Amino acid sequence: MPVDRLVAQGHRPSSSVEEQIAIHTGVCVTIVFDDGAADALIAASEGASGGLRSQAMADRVRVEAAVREFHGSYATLFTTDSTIRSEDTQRLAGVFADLKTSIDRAKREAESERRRLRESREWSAREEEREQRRASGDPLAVASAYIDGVIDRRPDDTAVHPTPVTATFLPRARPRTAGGSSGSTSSADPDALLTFVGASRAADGSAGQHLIRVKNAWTRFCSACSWVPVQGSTVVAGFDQLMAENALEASWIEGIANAFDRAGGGGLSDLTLDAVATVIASPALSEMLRPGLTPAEVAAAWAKAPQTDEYIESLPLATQYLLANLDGIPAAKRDIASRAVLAAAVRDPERVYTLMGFGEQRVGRSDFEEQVNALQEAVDAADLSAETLPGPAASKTAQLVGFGVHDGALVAAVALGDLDTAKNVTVNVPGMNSDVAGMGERVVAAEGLLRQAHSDDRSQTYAVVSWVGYHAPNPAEVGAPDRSESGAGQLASFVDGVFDSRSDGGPDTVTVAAHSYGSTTAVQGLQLTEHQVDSFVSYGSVGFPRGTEIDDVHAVNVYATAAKDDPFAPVGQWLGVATRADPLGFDGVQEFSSEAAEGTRGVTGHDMWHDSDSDDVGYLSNDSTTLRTLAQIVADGKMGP
Amino acid sequence: MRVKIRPRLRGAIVTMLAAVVLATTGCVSGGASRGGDVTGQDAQDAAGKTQAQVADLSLQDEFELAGERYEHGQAVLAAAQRQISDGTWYWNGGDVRPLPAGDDAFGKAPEGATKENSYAFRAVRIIEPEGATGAVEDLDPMQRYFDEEGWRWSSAKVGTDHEVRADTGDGWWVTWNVRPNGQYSLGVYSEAFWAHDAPELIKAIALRDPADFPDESEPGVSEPFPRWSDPVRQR
Repeated sequence: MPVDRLVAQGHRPSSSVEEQIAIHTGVCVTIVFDDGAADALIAASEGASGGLRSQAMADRVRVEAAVREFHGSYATLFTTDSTIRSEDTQRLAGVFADLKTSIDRAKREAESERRRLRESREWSAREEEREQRRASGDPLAVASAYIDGVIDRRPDDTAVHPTPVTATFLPRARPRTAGGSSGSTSSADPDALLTFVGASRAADGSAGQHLIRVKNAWTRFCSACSWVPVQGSTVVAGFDQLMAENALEASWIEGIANAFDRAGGGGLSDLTLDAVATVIASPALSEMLRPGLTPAEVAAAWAKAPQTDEYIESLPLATQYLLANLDGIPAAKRDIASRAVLAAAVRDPERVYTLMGFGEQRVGRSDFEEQVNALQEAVDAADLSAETLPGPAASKTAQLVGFGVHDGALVAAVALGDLDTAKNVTVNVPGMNSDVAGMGERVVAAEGLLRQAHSDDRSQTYAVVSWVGYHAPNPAEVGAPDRSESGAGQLASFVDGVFDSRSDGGPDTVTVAAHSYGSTTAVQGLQLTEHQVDSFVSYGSVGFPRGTEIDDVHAVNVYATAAKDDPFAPVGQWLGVATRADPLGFDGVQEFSSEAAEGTRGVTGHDMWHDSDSDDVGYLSNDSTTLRTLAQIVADGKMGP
Repeated sequence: MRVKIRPRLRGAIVTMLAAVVLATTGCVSGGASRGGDVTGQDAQDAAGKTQAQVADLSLQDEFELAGERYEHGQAVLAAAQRQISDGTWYWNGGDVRPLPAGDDAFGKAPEGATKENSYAFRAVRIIEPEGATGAVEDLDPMQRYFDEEGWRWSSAKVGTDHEVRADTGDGWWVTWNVRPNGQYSLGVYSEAFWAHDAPELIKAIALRDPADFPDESEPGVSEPFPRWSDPVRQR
C-alpha cells in the first residue's frame, strides 16, 4: 500500500515510514521497513499461534465427549475429520510461531541495515569535510584531515540482505460422506453433537478474530516492509480455508444431529446421512458465514446474498445466530437475526444455550436465562425509548446488533438510532463486571447522551451503541491484560463493521467512548481498526497499556477524563500497574474535567451512570460535566471551538 | 489543547481500602435496588409530598397526578419560550414520559429517593435565531425573565456554551443555553417526585403514549398526556 494511502486511512506513519517518505524527496536514503507494521504482525502471529494451540487442545476434549455415543461409519468419519482438523490447527499454530520468529529476525536485520546506512552517511559527511580541509592548502588542516582519516576508518559497506519471510500453510480437505452402502448404519446422541457444534463455533469465533488481526497485519506488513522479500506466503489464505472447513464441518455435524433427532434416536443409514453433506448451506451463505472474514470481506459477500428481511427471517436459527454476529452487514439485518435468536433464547433457553456453545462450559443455565431475560427487557425498553428520540421518523429506532458469545460470556450490542444511516455514531464501551444483564441502564445512559448531543447540534442524525461485546473482567481479573487484549479484536471488528456495512463509506462522525476497563480494551482495539474514528474518549480509565503510542490509535483526537472523587479508577490502575498507566500521562491525550462546574454536576463516583444505591454522580449521569463535554465532542466531532 | 500529567496514584492505604471495596462491589454501570427503602419517609419531593402522603395512591392516581405535573411543566416551558420567540421551535424528542429519578434529577433529591421510587420530567426545545453566534449577551432576555419571576439563577460557560439556569422554587428548573453554532436550547426539568414503583408508572405512561409529537412547533404546543383509559399497547 502506498504511504499516502496509509496516511489517508489513518495509519499515521511511524518514524521508519517517514524515512520512506524522505526517500522520495531525496533527503536521505534508507530502507522500506516500518517497525510498527512489523510489531503488529509479530503480535498478531503470537496471538494466533497461542490461540490456535489452545483451540487444538480443546478440540480433542470436545471430540472425545461427542463420540461417546456416536457409532458406525459416520462416527469414524467424524473422528477422522476431527483428527485432520486438530493436526491442521496445530500445524498452523507452528507456522505462526515460525512467522513471529522470522519477523523478529527481520526487525533485527532492518535495524542493522539502518545502522549501517546511517554510519555510512555520517562517515561520508565527515570525509567530505576532511576533503575540504585537504583542499584548503593549510598545512595544519591537511595534516589533521590526514590523521582523522586514518582514525576514522570507512565503515563496512556490505549491505545486510534480509532473510526472506516464508509462511506457507494449506489445510487438508476433510471427507464429509462415508460413501457407504445402503446396508450400513450409524447412530448418535443428537444433543452431544449439537453441544459439540455450539462449542466448536464459539471457538472458531475466537479464532476468527485472530484471523482478522493477522489479515490486517499481514497486508500492512507487505506494503510497509517491502525491504523484506516474502516467499511462499499462503498462511493467510490457508488460515481462511481452515476456518471455512471448520464452518462447513459445524454445519455438517449440525445437519447430522438434526437428522438423528428427527429419526427419534434410532440409527440412520449412511446413505441418508450422505445427503446431509449436499444441503448444508447455499454457496453465498457459506462464503459469508465462515469465521475470520474482515468486515469489508463480509460486506462484499453480503452484496451477493439475498438481502430481504423475509430471507433472514426464513433462515434456520443456527444461521441467524451466525448472521446476528457478523460485523459488516447492515444493522437492520443484524437486528432481525439478533432478535430472532434472543426470542428463541427466551422461549427455549436450552436450545440457544447449546447453540452458543455453553453446553460444555461452566456458565450456569440459570445465569444464562437471567441474562437473556434481562436483555429482552432492555431491548423492549429500548424500543419504547426509541419512539421518543429526536430526529426524523426513520431514526426513531432501536437495533439489537449482535447477540452471541465472547470468551465464554454472553455479549450483545443495542443501538439507539439507526446505525445504518445515522450521520453521527457513538460506540460506548463498558468496563469491569459489565454484562448483558446491565444493558437496560446503559441504554438509558445512551438516550441521555443522544438527546444532549442533538440539543447541541440538531442538524445531524445520531446513533449511540451500548456495546457489551467482550467478556469484561471480574474484580479478580481486572489487574491482568487478558480480557482487554481479547476484547480489542472484537471491538475493532465492530467499529470497522459500522463503516464497511455502508456503501457510502461510513458515518460522517464516529466517536468511541469507553469507561473504566473498557478504555483499556478500546485503546487497544482502536489500534487494530482499518478505519479511523474522529474521537476516542476515555472516562474513569483503569489505564492504557504501557508503551501505547497515541499516534498508533486510529482516532483523530484522544481524550481522557477522571474525576478526583472516583475512588476506583486509580485502584484499577494500581492493580494493573505492571502493565498499565494513567491515560493522562500519555503524550497526545487531551484532558477534560469531570469536576463540578457552575451549571454542571461533578462526578462523585466511578459508575458509568447514576447508581441508585448511593448519592454518587456517575460519568454519564444527567447533567454531569462529563456528559455535557462528551455530548459536545460527539456533536462537534472534537472538543472546543 | 492542554496536555498535562495527572497526579499519580493515591496513597497506598486508601488504595488498598478501595481495592477491597472494588473487589466486593464491582464497578458496573449503575445498580438498581427494588423496594426496601426505609429512609427518607418524611423527605418531601418536588411537589412537597412525603412518601407517606402518596402511599395510598393507586397506579391510576399516580398516573393522573403525573399528567398534572406534566401539564405544569409544559406551561413553564411555553412561558419561557415566549420570552425568546413566538416563532418556530424544534423539539428535542418527546417529553411526555418521565424518567427514573433518584439522585439523577435536578435539585437535591429527597432522602431515600432511588430510580425505583421516584421520577422526573424533562422537556427541551431548540431555536436557531438568525445570526446567532452563542454570544453571552444572548443569555440576557432569559436572565431578565428569571428576575421578573423572582427565581434564583446562575450562569456559566459550559464547554463552548453559555448557560443560565433558574430554580423556580416550586420543584422545577429552567435552563437556557446558547451555542457558537447558533443553536440555542431551552430546557425545563422537574425535581424528583415520589412513586410506588417508578418503572411501572413510566411503563404505564409509555404504553399509552403514541409518541405522536411534531418536529417543530410554536410555544404552547405540547403532546397530550395520555388518559388512563387509553388503549395499552402490547410490546
